[in-house]
Amino acid sequence: MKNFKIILFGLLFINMGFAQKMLTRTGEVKFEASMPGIEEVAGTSTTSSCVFDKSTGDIAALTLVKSFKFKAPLMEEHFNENYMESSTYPKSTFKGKVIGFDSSKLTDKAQTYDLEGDLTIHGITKKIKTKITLTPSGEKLIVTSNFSVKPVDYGIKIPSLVKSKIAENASIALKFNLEKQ
Amino acid sequence: MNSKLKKILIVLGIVLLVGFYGYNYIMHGGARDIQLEESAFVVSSNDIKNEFTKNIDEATKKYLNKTIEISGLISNIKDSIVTIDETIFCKMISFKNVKENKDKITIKGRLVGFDDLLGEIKLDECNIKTN
Repeated sequence: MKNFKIILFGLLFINMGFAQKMLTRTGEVKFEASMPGIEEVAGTSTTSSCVFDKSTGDIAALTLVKSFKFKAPLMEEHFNENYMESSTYPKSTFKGKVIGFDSSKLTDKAQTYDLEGDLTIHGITKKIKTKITLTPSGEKLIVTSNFSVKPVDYGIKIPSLVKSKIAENASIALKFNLEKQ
Repeated sequence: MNSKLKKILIVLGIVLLVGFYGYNYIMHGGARDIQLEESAFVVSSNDIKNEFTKNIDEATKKYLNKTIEISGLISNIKDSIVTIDETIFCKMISFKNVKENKDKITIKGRLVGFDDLLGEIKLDECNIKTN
């Protein structure tokens, strides 16, 4: 009987651990590398996934490169074939931690934290530091973050012919509406 | 004078036409219409699931960016997403003919990759295939 109680407690704790996880399968990731006055170079994925552990502040996100949609189909093709080489590197991922996150301090207001972790694009992993904003909305938790990356750092070559049309720093904007599992 | 004007007009017309089609090609050319494409693979949800479980890289190579048809049971319908057998995530272009949970359906779409964070096979540009 005692053993049974311990097991029950154990199960309860495991369950609590799971309950702390929030996730989305339809996260939005926007990529933009436009130069002022020239045709917009931007794509959006609306099927990115993200898992956030409220008890530890661990966060992981994944975007399938082919899911980026561009206004111009040719731009989408070039993005996939010439720059991201998405057949060889089909996904971009982030794995990191929301520094100093404490779920008991969440209020209705937006809170900004430091975010640190490993960003993998085009098969190359780099450590990044940025800010993340968490806004509770009912049962959901809205997570946003903006940062910029240099394609060069991730081994993405931009031919000199189009260098004037693509920004050296690509900005990336994330918006995830996380829900309880 | 008259013939000169005619020549100028013709050249101008050609330039405009080339410009128009050129611009159109750059802005809208090369688009795929997944629903009109012939499916490269026709599979059951279990078969494709097994292939991805066995070897993610190999299965990705085989199916990535291909137009495929998958049949299985609907396990979830939410927003613009239909999930087949818990693991196949389909972003729909239309919700016409989407039935209820647990119904058997065939979906045609483009495979965009395997999401190993959630263990899902993801497709977009999906539509229900009706026979």
